[in-house]
Amino acid sequence: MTTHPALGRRQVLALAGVTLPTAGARATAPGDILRRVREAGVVRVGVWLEAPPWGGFDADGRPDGSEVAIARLLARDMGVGLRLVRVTARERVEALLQDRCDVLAAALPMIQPHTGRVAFSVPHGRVNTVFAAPPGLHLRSLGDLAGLRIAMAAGTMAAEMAHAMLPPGSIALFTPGTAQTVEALLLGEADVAVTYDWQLRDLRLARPDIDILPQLPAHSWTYGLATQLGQPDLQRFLNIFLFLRGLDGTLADIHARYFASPLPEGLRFR
Amino acid sequence: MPRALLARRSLLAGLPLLAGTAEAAPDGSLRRVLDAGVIRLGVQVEGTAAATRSTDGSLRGYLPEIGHRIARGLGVRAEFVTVPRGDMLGLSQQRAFDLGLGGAIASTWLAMTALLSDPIMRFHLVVLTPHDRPVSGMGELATWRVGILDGRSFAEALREAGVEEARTVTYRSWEQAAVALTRGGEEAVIVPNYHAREIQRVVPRATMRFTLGEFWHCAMLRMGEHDLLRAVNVLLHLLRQEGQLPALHRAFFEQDPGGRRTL
Repeated sequence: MTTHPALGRRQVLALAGVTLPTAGARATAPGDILRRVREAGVVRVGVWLEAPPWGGFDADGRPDGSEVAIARLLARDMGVGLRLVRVTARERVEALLQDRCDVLAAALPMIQPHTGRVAFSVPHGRVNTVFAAPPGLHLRSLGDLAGLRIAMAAGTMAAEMAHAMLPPGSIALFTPGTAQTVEALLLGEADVAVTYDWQLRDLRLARPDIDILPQLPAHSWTYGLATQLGQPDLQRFLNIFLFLRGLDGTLADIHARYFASPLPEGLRFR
Repeated sequence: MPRALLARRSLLAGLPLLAGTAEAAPDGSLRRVLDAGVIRLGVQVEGTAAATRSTDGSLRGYLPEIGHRIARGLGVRAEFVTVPRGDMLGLSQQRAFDLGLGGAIASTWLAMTALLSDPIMRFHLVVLTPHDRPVSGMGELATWRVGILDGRSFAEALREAGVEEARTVTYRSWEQAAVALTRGGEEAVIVPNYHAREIQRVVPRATMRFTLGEFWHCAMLRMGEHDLLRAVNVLLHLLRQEGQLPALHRAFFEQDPGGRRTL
């Protein structure tokens, strides 16, 4: 008997993974978290509330932000109550691993070492960081940053990555938050700011008189919902959830509300 | 050489190349199917392009075709289990079959209790009324008797589409819905477009008025059966990539299955 080449290829790919011991098998998981959520009638979602527009507070002091909106949508679609678990940037992964939350909706970048420690859903957002400066300063390459003062928010992924890109002779100025990086630029304390593309867009809308341009791309990464390793039922649920809410436009609406821009290409389901 | 042996040979050949892609420990679901040499496929046979029984008793339609291709891809035989409308989830959990085809409309409600594959079939919910009873939107149907098809999955799709259950009456089949339309009066039915086509065949005065959006059927598995899910998704991906799935979808439903549909 012979087999069709396409059939053989199909069998090879489809059957891969049947008996493989893997990373998920090594992780210690607290049982089936999706089932636990169903039975408890509540989902605990870890959110980072010091990072607007992903997570912060509204005028009435209630948690707000794009990731908070997704957490609320998730609980609604699961048909369970929502308990927001506040986490800091540094403890996001630990909060999951210590089982303090069931799902993380905290703009966790899908990069190493996170990808080896938690399981991600499909991505639902992208972060683009840039080196921004007034138009009088012409930055054509990273080398042009030499001798300049570069403001960046301490403790952020954007700062960590941008700092590693700086050429010798440049001066990194660490600010307490992303808003202060732009402030430093406006006050003349810095020549260049490491900031987000959406932040510059917001600034242009709020203060058209201020002229700061994104001059060099720094980094770009996607983020998704995260779960503990070894929770494939929950992970599959999250992917179906994002798929359906991507299709019906809800994710695009959330993105438009918090970032004043369409969902980035590649994250859309249609 | 028996097909099962070929499959195992293929597996052995593929393992070293693909060892890095697996994400979880084996759960035995795929092994069970391979060892049995057969995959039991649950199908709702409702006399539509999705699945119908021919005069010789064999199954015909889009879903049986997809089922045969999945079985061939796994190197096993396809065995079809006929599932009454509305019973797909219950019978899946009772292990009446390995993989449910059709009857599982993608929704977060269903995804809380079953594993859903990548989408296999796209359809629209359409509103049919008698030709002399035009209607242009759901708002106008507020005082109408609206017939819908049975099944929790279908009810969830209607809920997503904004149809309130309180105004509806449930039918077990498109044939019953067709009869309701022939009675006249303030009657509308909401059915998938491939059911609507059958209704129009027997009730030519039934007219499609508007759609309530598009929906997707997925294959359904029991929670925890990720080995089988991965295999099915890989096969669906290849069927899409090779053009087989789109060609079948167009042949049976006269519409494209849509763009990228891999989760």
